[in-house]
Amino acid sequence: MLDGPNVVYIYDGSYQGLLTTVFEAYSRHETPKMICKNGIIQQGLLDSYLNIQTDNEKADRVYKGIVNKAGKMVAENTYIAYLSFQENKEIIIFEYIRLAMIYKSNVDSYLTNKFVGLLTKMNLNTTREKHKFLGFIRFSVMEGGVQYAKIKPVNNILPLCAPYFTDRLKNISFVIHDTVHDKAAVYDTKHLYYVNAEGFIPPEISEKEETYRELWRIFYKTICIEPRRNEKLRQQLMPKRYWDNITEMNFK
Amino acid sequence: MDLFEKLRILGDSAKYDVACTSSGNDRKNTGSGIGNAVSCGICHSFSADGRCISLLKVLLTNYCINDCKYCLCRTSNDIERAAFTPEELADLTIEFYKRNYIEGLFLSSGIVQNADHTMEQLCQVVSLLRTKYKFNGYIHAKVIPGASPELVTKLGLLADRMSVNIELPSQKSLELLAPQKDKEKIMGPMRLIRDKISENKNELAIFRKAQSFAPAGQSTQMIIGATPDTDFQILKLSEKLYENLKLKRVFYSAYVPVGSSPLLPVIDKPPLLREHRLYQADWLLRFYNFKASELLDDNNQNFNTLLDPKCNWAIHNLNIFPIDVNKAEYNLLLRVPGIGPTSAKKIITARRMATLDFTDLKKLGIVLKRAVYFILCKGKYMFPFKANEVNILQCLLSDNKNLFGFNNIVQLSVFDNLLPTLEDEVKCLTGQM
Repeated sequence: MLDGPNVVYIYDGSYQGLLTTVFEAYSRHETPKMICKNGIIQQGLLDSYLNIQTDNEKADRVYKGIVNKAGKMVAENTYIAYLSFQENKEIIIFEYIRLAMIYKSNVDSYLTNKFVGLLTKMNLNTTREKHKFLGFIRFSVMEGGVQYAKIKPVNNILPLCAPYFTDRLKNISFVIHDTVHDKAAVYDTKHLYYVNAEGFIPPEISEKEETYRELWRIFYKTICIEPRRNEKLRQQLMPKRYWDNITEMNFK
Repeated sequence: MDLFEKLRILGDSAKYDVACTSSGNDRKNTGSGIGNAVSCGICHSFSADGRCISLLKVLLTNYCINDCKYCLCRTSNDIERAAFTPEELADLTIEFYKRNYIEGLFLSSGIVQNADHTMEQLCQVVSLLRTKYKFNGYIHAKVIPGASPELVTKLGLLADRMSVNIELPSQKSLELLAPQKDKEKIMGPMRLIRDKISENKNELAIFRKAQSFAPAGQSTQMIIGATPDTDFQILKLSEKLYENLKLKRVFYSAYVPVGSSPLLPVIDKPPLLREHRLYQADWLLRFYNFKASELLDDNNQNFNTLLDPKCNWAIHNLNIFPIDVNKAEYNLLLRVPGIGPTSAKKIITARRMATLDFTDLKKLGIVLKRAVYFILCKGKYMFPFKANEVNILQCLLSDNKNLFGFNNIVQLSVFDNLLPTLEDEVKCLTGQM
């Protein structure tokens, strides 16, 4: 990649947009040096820039192409990687897709390759955080029965977590509000939607809700076996950055 | 007594039962109810002692007719006593579950009147949850020692996991500290559960919609440090339990003094390191294909406090090392300190595509700090000569230094990136290099 034009692709930050850049790179027979989100551009003296218009049809063709050549799991890996917080994730995903076209479904076995390694590590970080949140999400039951939860994740794990709750709480409507990415998952017992939630402030909780929160706090406090107290271990397993939204860590 | 008080008292009495997992069974929502189950288990919180909380762990009541010396709830102990009504407990479980505080319920009880009466109370709560509240989440039900087969069966068809606590690792200690529980009262139900689970598997193979009996299996618990039993005795017992009773898990609970009987040891803190070593050995039995007799024997009845059981085994069996990571089969890779099931699988996957060297292993996430003394890559050691037992022991024990006194393997220049920098290139051109 050191020879040839140093071209930087700029896309709109969406998954479809990212897949469109892959389409463009293949149709132009070139490899971008970097893929940047709109507004986050790193200046290089010899770089030329190309704005990529998101095209859903082109994006779908790329996705289907990956599924056909390398399988559903590899395609899903690219989506999970897209949800990562890592800054240079786009170029890693791009290179991973290129490798998937060559090695097909074996690409995930190629753990010693730089990009496969990076992508695998990134996805592990994301899926680990998703699994933590399946446990740490705390709902509050609001007036009318709709449940509301607030989360502050590092990665964009809302699309990975919300479907799980539609099965668990099948007949209960809920809203999961991601305050970092300003999005919310809304479930009305029939369909799951994702909406923009910038500036959304939830209503006050009821007395009944406060009662159950208090009961849980009492249980949490009681269950500790004092001679085994180990706050360092607790912090390792339940990092402090999540405590704001965990009911029992907010004692009155 | 209000619900807050009851929860405090009955949660406090149940906390020494360390079984905490919500794992073992995958189940989707039934459609009309609430809840599902996830086979890997979900940790919802961690208490101040670092233990995972995934279930609402309470006693239905802490009144008890028995007088087991190690137990907080023994009848001779003067503590606050309480009891939940079945509706109270079912409601509490559902409300906590809705809010995603828990995966389900862990229900035990002190013995009221007799074993069967208590079992009937437990069945009532669990049945209420499953039928009236349509609860489809995880339920771990304790079985009272001495319960009749009909009630054990009834409870098994409602719960995900069942357990009977062995508590003490030998018949002698049981007779001494808990004379009202005898071995048969404990083993009887355990054998019945094993047989019912096995029967049920056959039924389900034929008729997919048959009712499940304890789909997440059976577990048990042993108290460590309340009796003079050695680690070897405890480990051998665990091995037999896994083999003969087909248990899913054995839990080890470090003895926390809650009584002052002359029959119990006086200790100032719970034997946490010993408990940790037992869990490490337990993992070796279940996931690494070790046998108890390989880890300990009659002349070495207790674990090494300085080295974990696997490293200890490796040091005493240096004759089988070093092994070549590119050729060794899975079970042999598992024997290398620093390589576990995940790493071994990664090695086997990655070596299909390319022969591995030490930098590759580091990329895969193998703990080279330990493994390096026991493996070869492409026929070579990482270091120029083979280390002997004493040297390896020194290095495994001291966290920081490796064999050659370097602080960190990464600092060795052989493994650094060898591409020349701009400065190097200039120096070459001007003749400085």
